Amino acid sequence: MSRAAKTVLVGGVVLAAVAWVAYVCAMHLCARQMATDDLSWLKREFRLSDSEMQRIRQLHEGYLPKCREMCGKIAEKQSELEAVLASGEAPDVKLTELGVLRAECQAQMLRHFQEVSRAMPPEQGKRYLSEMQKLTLGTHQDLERSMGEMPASGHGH
Amino acid sequence: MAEYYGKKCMKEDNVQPGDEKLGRLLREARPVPDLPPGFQNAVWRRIEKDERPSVGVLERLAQWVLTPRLATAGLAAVVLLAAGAGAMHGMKMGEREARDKYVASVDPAYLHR
Repeated sequence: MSRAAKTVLVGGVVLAAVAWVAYVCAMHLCARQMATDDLSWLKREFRLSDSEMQRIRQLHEGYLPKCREMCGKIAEKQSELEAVLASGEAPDVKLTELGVLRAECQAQMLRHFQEVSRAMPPEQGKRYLSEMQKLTLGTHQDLERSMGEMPASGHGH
Repeated sequence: MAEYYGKKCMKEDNVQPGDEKLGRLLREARPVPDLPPGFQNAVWRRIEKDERPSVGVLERLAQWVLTPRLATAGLAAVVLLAAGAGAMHGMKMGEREARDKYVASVDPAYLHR
């Protein structure tokens, strides 16, 4: 390899390394800046004022303990169901109880979304509600819809 | 014939004293202009340039790499471009992370889907 080729190669490697470091540093800095706390996205995405954010923060902090409590109940019911399945008993009752708990959890979550949407300007509130429903319930709906569209032979039952 | 050639074509060999006068007169009638200053140097430079081996792309790149001013400017431009691209990607990534963080805080099952 000629001396010129070596110089160009070393220069290229140094340039690529420096560019990579600059890219990664800028990317992480910006990403970290964007996700400072749980509610930072709400403020930016729905262009909320400080007073609206204060109200939403109160609602959020009021909702979290209820959500944790519900999660605890669901986890407990889940272990009961696993125990029933391990013992060979019929899991019907436990499955129904688990389903009821999950439905209660979703209903509570939707109520929270509605409260939060009311704390926003009407247009933004409508958009928030639709976005949240799509993100939290949308996955189940898509799955159920796709299963409903399947031919009977391909349903797996 | 031989007499003719002797008289007409061989006359340079036997220069007559009057011919010198005629030559001077002719030179004065068609004056040769003086060479511009530095003419010889310019000619030598052109000869040297033609004799020098042509510089290839690699050699030219190497010259740029080794020129501090050019190397610094290139490095600064690349750093700026890379940081700009990183910042844009980071903003998009951060926006998605922030959204996921919020949704996961209200629906803990969200990230497990």
